Amino acid sequence: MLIAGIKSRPRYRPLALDPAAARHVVVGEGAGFHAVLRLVAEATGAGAASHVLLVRRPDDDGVALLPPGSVLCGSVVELCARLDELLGTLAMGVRLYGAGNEGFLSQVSHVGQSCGLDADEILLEWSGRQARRVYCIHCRALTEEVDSELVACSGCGRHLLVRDHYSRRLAAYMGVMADAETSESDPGEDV
Amino acid sequence: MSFDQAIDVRVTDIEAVTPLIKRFTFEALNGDALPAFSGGAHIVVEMSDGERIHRNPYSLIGSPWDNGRYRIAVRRSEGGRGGSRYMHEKVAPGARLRISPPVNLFPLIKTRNKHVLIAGGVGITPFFAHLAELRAMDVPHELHYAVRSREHAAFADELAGMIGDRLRLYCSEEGQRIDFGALLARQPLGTDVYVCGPEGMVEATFAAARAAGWPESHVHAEQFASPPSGEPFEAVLANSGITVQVGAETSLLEAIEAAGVDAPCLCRGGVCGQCALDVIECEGELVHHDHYLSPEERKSNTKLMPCVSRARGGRVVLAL
Repeated sequence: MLIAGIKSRPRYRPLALDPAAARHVVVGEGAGFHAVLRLVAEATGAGAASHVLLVRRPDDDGVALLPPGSVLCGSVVELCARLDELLGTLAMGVRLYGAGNEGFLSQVSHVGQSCGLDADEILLEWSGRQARRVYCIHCRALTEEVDSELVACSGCGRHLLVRDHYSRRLAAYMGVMADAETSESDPGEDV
Repeated sequence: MSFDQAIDVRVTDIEAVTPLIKRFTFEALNGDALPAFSGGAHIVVEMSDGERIHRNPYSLIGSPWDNGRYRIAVRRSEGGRGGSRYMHEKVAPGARLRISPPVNLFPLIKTRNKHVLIAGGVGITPFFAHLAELRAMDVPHELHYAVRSREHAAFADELAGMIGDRLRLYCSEEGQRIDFGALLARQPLGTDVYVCGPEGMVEATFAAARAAGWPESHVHAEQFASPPSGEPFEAVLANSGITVQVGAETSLLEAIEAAGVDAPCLCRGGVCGQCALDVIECEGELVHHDHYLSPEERKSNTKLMPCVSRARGGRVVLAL
């Protein structure tokens, strides 16, 4: 971590059912599948109503464990569209639970917020590889799946230092040129 | 607030709205524009009633876009401490008063998808300016307004003119009651509820919201309390080296102000927390009437809000 106390990052924590909610919407992707199953079991045990939306993976065993009516989607984009549709039909009292990689959680959060949910109504668990999405502040390209502090930008090729400064709007960490003072050439610059 | 930023105003109009409620219009004495305000804001009106100075908070009920005048509605309270009686009996058109600049402790959360307003009786006052803003913003909203009888619902005609069928009127004499549970169980995501009225109404709103799974970030209340009377007691202001006697009908804050000590305060109604004092020592017990301190803070006996709360059974030493 480069800087302590960054507040722009969403808080991630293991999903647990919020007993105060009237209805639970659970969405998952990739490694988040297990967290979804865990939460659904908890909701069923508590006799609580839940809706489940998942991005389908061929190797997911246990799809049979999902409650009837669960929606299996081919992509994150499809899941977000279905989620938006579902939230539009629900009344106040919902908690949205998401489990998956950070990019997925961010997109799910955006959908929740655009439907009127607050940060305290959206609970997120980051599952799987702890890789980050990086936004190049020079060329604005996004570089996915970054798990190092230094990375070559997928757009301009600059060596980026990945800062902990997280943009919720872009769902990405800020990447700034690491060797701006020392590099002989600036590969992305049009002179 | 300490009245050093007070504005001198002239009463330009007084109108009896219901048998108990009068509407007052103020304009700045020097003819200047008045400070801008937003929906839900209130001012504190200072009244010199003989020996006694009343300072009561009132919501601004005019349009936030009209900076030429302020309007407030005052409900006459017979059992009260005299401020509202003073406004009803002693204040005539042309009278001069001092008011504080506006403060908003009950704003609309403007990013929401929908706003549900619940008012009981004179609790309608903060919603006039809210409704002006909501109409300009063109977001879904509805007002549920409970009154005792048609006779007390004079504002309802004006409101119906403003918002039409977004107003639901409930007359308790006709057996009409707000069904809080049903109302809050069917609101779309991104709805906020705002309540201003008697304590039972505020509690019913919070309870129904909780039961329907609403997080508290979506529930807002304005609950100005007027300072209740109590046993006289003695307060020692440790930093000022002054001891004040607090009479049965006087609030601790008023006694402190009468002694010439400048105590921080804002709403004077137990809501904002601005006046909270550290209690150094307390012989008897603290009697809390505010809506600000947490249950833990109350139990700790270390904080007191002098605008509405008191001590009983002995003296209290305060860090002021």
